[in-house]
Amino acid sequence: MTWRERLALLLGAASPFAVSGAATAEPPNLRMQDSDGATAPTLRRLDFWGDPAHAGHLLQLAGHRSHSSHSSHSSHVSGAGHSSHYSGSSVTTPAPLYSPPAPYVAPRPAKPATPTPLYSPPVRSAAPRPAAPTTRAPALQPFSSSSSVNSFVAPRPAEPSRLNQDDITKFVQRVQIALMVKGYDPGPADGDLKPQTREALRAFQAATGLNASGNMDMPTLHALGVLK
Amino acid sequence: MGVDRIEVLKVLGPEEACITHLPPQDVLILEDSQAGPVLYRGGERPLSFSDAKDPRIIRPGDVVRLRPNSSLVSVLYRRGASANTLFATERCNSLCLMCSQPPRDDDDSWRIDEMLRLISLIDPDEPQLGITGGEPTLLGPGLARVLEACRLYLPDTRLQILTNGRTFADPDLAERLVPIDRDGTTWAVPLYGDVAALHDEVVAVDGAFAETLDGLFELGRLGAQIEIRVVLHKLTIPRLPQIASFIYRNLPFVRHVALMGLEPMGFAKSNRERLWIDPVDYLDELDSAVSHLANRGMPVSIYNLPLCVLPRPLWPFARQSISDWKNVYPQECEGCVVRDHCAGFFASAGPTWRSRAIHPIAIEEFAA
Repeated sequence: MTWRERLALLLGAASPFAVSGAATAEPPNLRMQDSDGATAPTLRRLDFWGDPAHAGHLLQLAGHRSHSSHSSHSSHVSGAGHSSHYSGSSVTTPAPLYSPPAPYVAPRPAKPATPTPLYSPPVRSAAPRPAAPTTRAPALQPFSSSSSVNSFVAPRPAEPSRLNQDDITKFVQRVQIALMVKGYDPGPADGDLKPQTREALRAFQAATGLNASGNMDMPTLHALGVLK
Repeated sequence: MGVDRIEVLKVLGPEEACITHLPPQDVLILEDSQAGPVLYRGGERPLSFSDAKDPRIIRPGDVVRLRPNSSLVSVLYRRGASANTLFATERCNSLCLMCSQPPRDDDDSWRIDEMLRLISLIDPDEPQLGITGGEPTLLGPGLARVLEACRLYLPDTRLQILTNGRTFADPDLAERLVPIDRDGTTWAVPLYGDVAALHDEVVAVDGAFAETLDGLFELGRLGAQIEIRVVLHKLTIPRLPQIASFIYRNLPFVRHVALMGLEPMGFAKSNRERLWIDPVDYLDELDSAVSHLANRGMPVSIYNLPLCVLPRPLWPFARQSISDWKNVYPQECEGCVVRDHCAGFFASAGPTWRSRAIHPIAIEEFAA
């Protein structure tokens, strides 16, 4: 543990959350991964609460013990494709005073994924999708190594268009960019699922309350916002 | 539309209409035909549906308002949208310089009944719902009825209520409203200064700062979940670091602080000269405020600012905060590799509200 982390821990202990009772639950996933150097965050001065989502989750954890996955992203799955609404002059809508703070609304415990049986939003993503992003789909099989395409098993063998190496490279690149946006350091965004990228995935997963496997499984991809 | 009075109805596809728990008179069936979508109520002939309109405006799951002798269809709730809101009232006790929804002093108490009706038709699995205005707490007991209806019909839906907090200086009102769903409701309260003169100037009411703080302390006393919102503009920026420090020291019970880019709507447009500052010119203040709060464990977010104007260390705090129906990405964003993670822009933002820092971010910036 570096002196900065010690200082951060001290500051954390001195924060009002530490004495409010609610936050006596010790943060379970403090970014200790940082100490191995592989995912040294790019953030200045933010070694401790590197990911604000993490801090939010701690509060949620303190509030309701049962804690579902990063559901702030689930709305992205069903919320796309409305840009053409309200174009007619005869349609009115109550305009919100401010924009909604969607990302910080804590998930209700045991909230099911929002099923929209009759509503299928248009898919915007032009990038390859390794698996149909239904919530019931089996987790995307992890790439066992960065180069072995053959070990990638598509969830549905009969899938007409198999991913080629180029698709996979582009997809890994998108994951790397998403990790960078969220403050993690997966190394250069070159599409290579290298150890540093896996380490960044693990750090993100731990901070988000997901299984810290370092694999690009479906919950992780949803939480990263790369499936839309 | 063939209705005798103003009606608020649930639009459903034919299959869902068969299995819904809603009574038939509450349901409009939306069926695709050769000639386009057709709306009808069970057992009745199709309602005329103006073909001039984009049929995609109405989708199954939506809740619409129909008026007699009018083809006006107002969509009050959209299934799958990221930001559904109940519009509580047009009245407000503040007159903020950058108000995007300028208030009107009409008696619109009819909205309470419409909200109660609407709430009963919203999908029960809706994850979140906003309540806005105007100042919703001016409804007083009416707002309590609305919140109680939400808990009855939408027990799993989180509520986010935008309020200036001033009315909660009255402990009785706070005690009436907060316990209805203390843990499922977030009260989003704006604070524009660490000193009264600044806050009062922005909201254009003398004494507002003191009332808002009294209200915040009442909410805090009752254990309400509070979000503080600071709108970033020329008046608030100079003391933004002090505002952050003020929040941390004096309001440590708040759950989240949102630092929000200006929405160019309503009064903000007419007050552009007093308010506009290019976001790249306030990055130092923004960075200072974010770091101050984040380093102390206070969750903090940046709303409404595109990633390309922010330095990388602030990216993890930036949220895709603009409601989907008013969210746009200009042409030049096509080639940007972080577009999918970016807040984008308000559709209302014209060229005079454009930061000079806007540019697509190339993959090369991540390659090394």
